[in-house]
Amino acid sequence: MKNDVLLQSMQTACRRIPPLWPLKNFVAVNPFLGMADMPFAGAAGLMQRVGHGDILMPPSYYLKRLETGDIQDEDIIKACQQLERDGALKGLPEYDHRNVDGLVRYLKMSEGGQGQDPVLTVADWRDKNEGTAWSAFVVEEVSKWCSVYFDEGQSSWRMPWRGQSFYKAWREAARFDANPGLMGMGDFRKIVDGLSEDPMETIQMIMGILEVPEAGMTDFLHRQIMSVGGWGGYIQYRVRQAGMNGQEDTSLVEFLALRLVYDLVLFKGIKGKGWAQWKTQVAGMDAPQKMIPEASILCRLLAQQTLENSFQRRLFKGMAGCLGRQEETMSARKTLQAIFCIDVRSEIYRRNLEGRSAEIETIGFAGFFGIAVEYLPMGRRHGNVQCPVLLNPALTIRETLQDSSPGQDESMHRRLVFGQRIGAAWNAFKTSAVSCFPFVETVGLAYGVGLVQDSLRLHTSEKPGTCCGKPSTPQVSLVRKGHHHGHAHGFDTGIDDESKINMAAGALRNMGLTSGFARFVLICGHGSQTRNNPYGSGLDCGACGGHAGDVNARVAVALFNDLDVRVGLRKIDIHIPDDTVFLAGLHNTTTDDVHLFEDEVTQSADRALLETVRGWLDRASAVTRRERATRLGMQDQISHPRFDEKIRQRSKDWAQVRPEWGLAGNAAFIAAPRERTRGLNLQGRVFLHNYDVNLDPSGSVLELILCAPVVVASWINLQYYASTVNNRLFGSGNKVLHNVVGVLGVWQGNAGDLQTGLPMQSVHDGTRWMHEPLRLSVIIEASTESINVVLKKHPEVRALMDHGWLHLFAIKPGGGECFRYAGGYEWQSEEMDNAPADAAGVSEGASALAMV
Amino acid sequence: MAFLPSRLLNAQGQASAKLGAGLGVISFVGALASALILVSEGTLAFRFLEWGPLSVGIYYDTLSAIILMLVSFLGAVVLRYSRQYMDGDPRQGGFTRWLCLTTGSVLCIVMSGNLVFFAVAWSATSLCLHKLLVFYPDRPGAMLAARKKFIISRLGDLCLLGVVILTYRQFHTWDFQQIFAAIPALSSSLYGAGGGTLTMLCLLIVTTALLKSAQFPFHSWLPDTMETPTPVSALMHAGIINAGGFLIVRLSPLVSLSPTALNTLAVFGAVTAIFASLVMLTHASVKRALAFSTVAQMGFMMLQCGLGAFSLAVLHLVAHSLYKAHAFLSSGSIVNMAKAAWTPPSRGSTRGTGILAGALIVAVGLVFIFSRVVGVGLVEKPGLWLLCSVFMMSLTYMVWNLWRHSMSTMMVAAGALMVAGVGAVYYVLHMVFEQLLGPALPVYAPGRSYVDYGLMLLLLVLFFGILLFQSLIPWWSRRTFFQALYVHARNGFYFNTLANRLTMQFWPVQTRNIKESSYEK
Repeated sequence: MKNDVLLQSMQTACRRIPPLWPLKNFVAVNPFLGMADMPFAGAAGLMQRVGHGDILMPPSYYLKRLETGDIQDEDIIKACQQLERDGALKGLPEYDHRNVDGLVRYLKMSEGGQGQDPVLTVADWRDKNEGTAWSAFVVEEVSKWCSVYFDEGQSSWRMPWRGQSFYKAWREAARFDANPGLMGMGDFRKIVDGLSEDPMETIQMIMGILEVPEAGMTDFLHRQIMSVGGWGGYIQYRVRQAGMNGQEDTSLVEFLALRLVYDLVLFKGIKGKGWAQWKTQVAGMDAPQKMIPEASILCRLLAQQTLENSFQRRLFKGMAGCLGRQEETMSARKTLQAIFCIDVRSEIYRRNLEGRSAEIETIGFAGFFGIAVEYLPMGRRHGNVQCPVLLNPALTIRETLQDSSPGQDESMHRRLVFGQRIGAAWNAFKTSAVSCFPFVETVGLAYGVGLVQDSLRLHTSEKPGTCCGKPSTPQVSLVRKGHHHGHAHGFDTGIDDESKINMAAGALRNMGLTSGFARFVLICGHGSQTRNNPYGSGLDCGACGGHAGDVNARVAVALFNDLDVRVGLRKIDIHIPDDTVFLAGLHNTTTDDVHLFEDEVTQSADRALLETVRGWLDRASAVTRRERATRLGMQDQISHPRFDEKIRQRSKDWAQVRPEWGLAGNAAFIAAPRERTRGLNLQGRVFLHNYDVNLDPSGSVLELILCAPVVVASWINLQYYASTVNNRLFGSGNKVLHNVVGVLGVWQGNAGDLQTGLPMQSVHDGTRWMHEPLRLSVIIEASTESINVVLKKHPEVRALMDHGWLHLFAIKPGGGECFRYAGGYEWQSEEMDNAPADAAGVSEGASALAMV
Repeated sequence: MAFLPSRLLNAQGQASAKLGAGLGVISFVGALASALILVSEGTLAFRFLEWGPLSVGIYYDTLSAIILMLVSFLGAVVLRYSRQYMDGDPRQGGFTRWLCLTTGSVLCIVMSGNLVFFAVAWSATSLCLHKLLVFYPDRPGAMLAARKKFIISRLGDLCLLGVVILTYRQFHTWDFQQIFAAIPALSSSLYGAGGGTLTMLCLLIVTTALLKSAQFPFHSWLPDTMETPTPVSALMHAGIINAGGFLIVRLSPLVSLSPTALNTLAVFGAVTAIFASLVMLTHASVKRALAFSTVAQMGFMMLQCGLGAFSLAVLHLVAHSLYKAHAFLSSGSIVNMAKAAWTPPSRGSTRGTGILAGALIVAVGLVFIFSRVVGVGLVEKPGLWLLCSVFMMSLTYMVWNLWRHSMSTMMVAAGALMVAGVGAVYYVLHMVFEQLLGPALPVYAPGRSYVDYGLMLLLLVLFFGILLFQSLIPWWSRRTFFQALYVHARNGFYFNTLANRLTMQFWPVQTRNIKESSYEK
């Protein structure tokens, strides 16, 4: 019976750990992923207990915002109502003054207030009682072991127990390890020698000795993992990947066992009356959890909700003018339709591109454009997975030379592998224990040149994406090829004809682009261009699994330009005009340049018109750069004649810790026709997804939007949120101390835990927060009924809305009415400031979104 | 660099960083200009002020010129880097100030014409660096490492004080020029009996250098100083840590009078090189691996000094500095580099090791034959022979890595080309530094005993063994002794833990929880 409880607690504790992706494809993760089944306020309490930290900003932040922000009493009144509905406001019995002054008073009262009692590991407990530094030491030891076990290629003397399970390998290694003993963990080696081979047994044994009561087990075990939560997260990632491939990975449980062993050793080292004190301490965990959060959490939650209400009010005020706007009749055919990722960075570019001409229409869609593929560049044996992490790619696409024969491809492949081998031998010369000395003497001086080049940013730039900047012009190959072809060892690449048509049709339908094709349809992925930045892939497209989105765009374009595909599409009533040309592009989010893959267009295109398009794009780039300059602190250089060049130089700077602001500032997600937001300056704070309810009678596209892009946007949003509210717990600290470990993550300084989330430099400019921590406001133009249908079908999505991890709004299709989701399939009418609908009012309302 | 505002306003962080970067460039230009003067004027030594043995002046020869250019160049690069890198830190101004002061102190070491001045600059460098190491005082790891270093540096200062005192007793002056002038007279009497003070003096010099350059067993502070911003690591590993080597080469006319001192240096250097490069192999974090690599490289440089190959040591010092500065400053690129790297498809077989062993022996044999042909006997220059053998073995190792997976014509050609290229560069650089520095440096050719030869043979075998060992790593993983060795090496053979506990005893770091970074206000 007891074991059942333990097993269940263990599973719950493990489930609460969010995965952490390695740096090479670092994607945003919702750090509260495992806690979505509990209300926000409950998770705040839980994090105080097991993480010893907050998930809300400190009172001082809210006080300052109340002073300077655009906060009205109605925002507070609404927030109170919302909390009352959740039954949470009971925790603030005396709260009655529902205005700014009242909130200020309560925030001040709760400043320095007590949070929930922290759950302690033995290491924590001894540190607290004896003033030792055991927790730091245990983190260091565990982290050191993880770093060598998971190392992806930093060390040349690899851990000898490769291939063995995590716990078993550790047990073998720990038997020799004198380090804990030397630090004063006397019995370490003896205890390790006596351990069971089975991690489960070890956990049972230790939990028996520590006498943790059943009610407190989950939190206690959660705390154990949280104490080295970064590695816990990385292991969770591996568990998750294995699960997606249908395998089982028990490393996280093994990790828990390992962590507990250190606690056991420390427990055995307790002297005198300590044991009895420990038992009293753990017995306290038996007390039932308080149902209502503390006032210190509640009043800040109220303030948080108030800020979010204020943001929503300003956003709706801006949108009010557009809500009734009728869709433009599709009489005039556009010259350019440009499809961008929903990423908030696209919003600025799209707006500026639309501003070039009435001939341009832009569309927002998840940046992998519905093309979930694995991409195999030439000369590689393993491809990159180019799709959202929620999906598994169905196909592998190879890179080939343009218009080449298989023989040419093969020789190119051989050349690349040859170069890599030379590189590997050179690397052995550079890093081996003896040859590193002569290496330095022969080659060292050349690094002087490197220092000059890097300091003066003279080197030719590395373009973002997988393809630009290579000597020859590669292209994506859709051709079906078997494994007999050299480099794709053992698996097929390419797409067969039927899948081509299905894939193309699916993508077009989901984009809502089944008719009214323009002369040019630009499919534009995005990627970032930074140097010396371990977090570079975090700035790339999240929908492409932390890679640049050019590959997906190019594959999509190759599909849509394929004549057979077009014939096939015609059969299912999607008519792409013969003179419509699809173009692939890559939006460089660091410099805002757009690279066009013109060479890959096989059909004849109107070159003059293409030049016009090129001109629009360049102009939009220039305008966007100027708009972003303020946030980059370069506003005084906008009029400088070499301004554009300066921005490009900036992205090549190896010392640049803030190459761009990424998705900082993101706060809302709108799925609606572009008419609802066209012309609004949304300040790069909104994910924009095109959705036309008329084209989606079955509701399948709506379902897709709620389950994929909304979830991904919420992951991103909560990652920024968490890295801002508590960078120690959820962020990766100060970039200048980053030490890349195992080529998969970073340490801060010497050692310590693996860092998660975003660095401080990504959300803070040194004087102020560049991200305003607001939970995502999702606004969808669809009927509440149809949304309810989707929520019923997907409880995991509903949990996000029911528990306050994001705000959901529905705009009545075609009309101006707006409803707020109130949990439990209930909707409340949201009053909107339906003030002036003239252009001036619109721009005024929207510019109010600018961050304070 | 004399002009340094004592209190730069942190409020003007960017402005002071700009100023710092400017100063860096100015000092580099200055160093270039003075190198030009050197070319036309020859060695400079002049004293601004004279108070008996204590004079304030500079001694500027080829060695100073090279190191001065190196340090000021690195200073300029690092200051420029920091300008952007530390942007937004509320204490950027203070950071820049200490970075400038540290660089300035190193420049003073390099230029000083007088041992006392030298010692003062030496101490000042370490004290200024301390300020940078504790730039984040809320990080316990930073404090512990800085204190470990502080203790070792003060020991080094004591030794240098001893050097200063003994030098005065021996030479009655502290002026480099006068000391060097007095040496020829001494050297005739030295190889015989006597010279106890001098041996003592040389041993103290060697000890000072070993303490400064993080040599075994005083190395453990260096890998622990990653709690400081990257540019500081770059400056420290490239511009400061090698001061020990500079001290030896600067005083080489003196030190080479004592074979005992140089042999000590060689032994410590070799032990450090082998020890640290083994530990380096096990580390999974880029900066710590780089730190152990620095320790090892410094060891090798000390070995070169100990063998009397001073000009080669200077080449090593300069080249290593540039390499390491670049490696640290670009340490964030490792993820991108790894994305493009090639991984061997599968494990080969142990067979390769036998071939490697044979090839290594052939390589050493080639050096032997070559030296015979050229006429440099084993007996006259055993040190050079050892260094050349290490070089040849390294080339062999590189080619073995290339050829063991494929022996296609292309591969063979590429391997041969690489060997020829590397060999040529090595030879040319060696010659250039010998030409530049040789005339000013002493020729060290003491009478060698069989113990010396035995020692060198042992070193050769050790280097040989390590290369073989490395090629065997993938296949020995099941052997218990190997597993134990791995765990111990992974822990740096526990010297770090012991050093930490010792430091904590003398100078405890408060164990408070790491607060939110100071950055957050």
